[in-house]
Amino acid sequence: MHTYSILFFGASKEISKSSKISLDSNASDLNGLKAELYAKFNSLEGSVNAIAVNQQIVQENVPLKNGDEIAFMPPFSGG
Amino acid sequence: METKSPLCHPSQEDKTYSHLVEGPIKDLAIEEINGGAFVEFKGIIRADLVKNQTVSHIDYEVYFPVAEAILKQIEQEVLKQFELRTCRIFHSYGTVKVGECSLLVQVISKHRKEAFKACSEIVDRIKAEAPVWKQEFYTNQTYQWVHCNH
Repeated sequence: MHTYSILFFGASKEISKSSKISLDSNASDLNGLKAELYAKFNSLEGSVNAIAVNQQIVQENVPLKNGDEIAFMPPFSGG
Repeated sequence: METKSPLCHPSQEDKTYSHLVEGPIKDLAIEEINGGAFVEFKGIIRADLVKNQTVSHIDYEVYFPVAEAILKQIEQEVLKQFELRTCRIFHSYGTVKVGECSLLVQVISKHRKEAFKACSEIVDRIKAEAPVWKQEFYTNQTYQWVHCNH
């Protein structure tokens, strides 16, 4: 079992009803964690455009370790 | 419903985020231009009409450490790419009202063409790469998250 710090931004935060949660999970990689969270929060998957692990944006599956920070981010709209 | 991330407001002691400014961005003078082309871009909040409601202000949410790193990276890369003399980027977080500035880009180069191109490139890259989200509020107190396609 691992504990992850999960961040939600923008419209994703509206779906999760929180900007930050601490999640106990059996997932040991990003794909596993995504599957768990997308099952937990309906429509979260459709709102997410990018994911960062420990403040690095990742495009593919990566292994996770206890204490990692994972950010779920909708399309950017700065400027 | 929580509308603001705890990451939206860093502590007053935190001076790490030199490219991120709370609220509207004031005019920032550049000293020692020493000749050449100075081009400045300001993004100003528009009083758009959306579904019969007028925009009153925008709240910017920012993933602070990542946004700061990306703005700094854009600054450094464009400085090198266009051989600029100076390149500065400032983006707001928190509340910015209609008519106020939320993005300021300043570049100085030897000649005008590089300055115009560099300024445009920076704004395009900020919109595509910086983890910043715009929550648009209307005069009837409703809001929506904005998805930019431009």
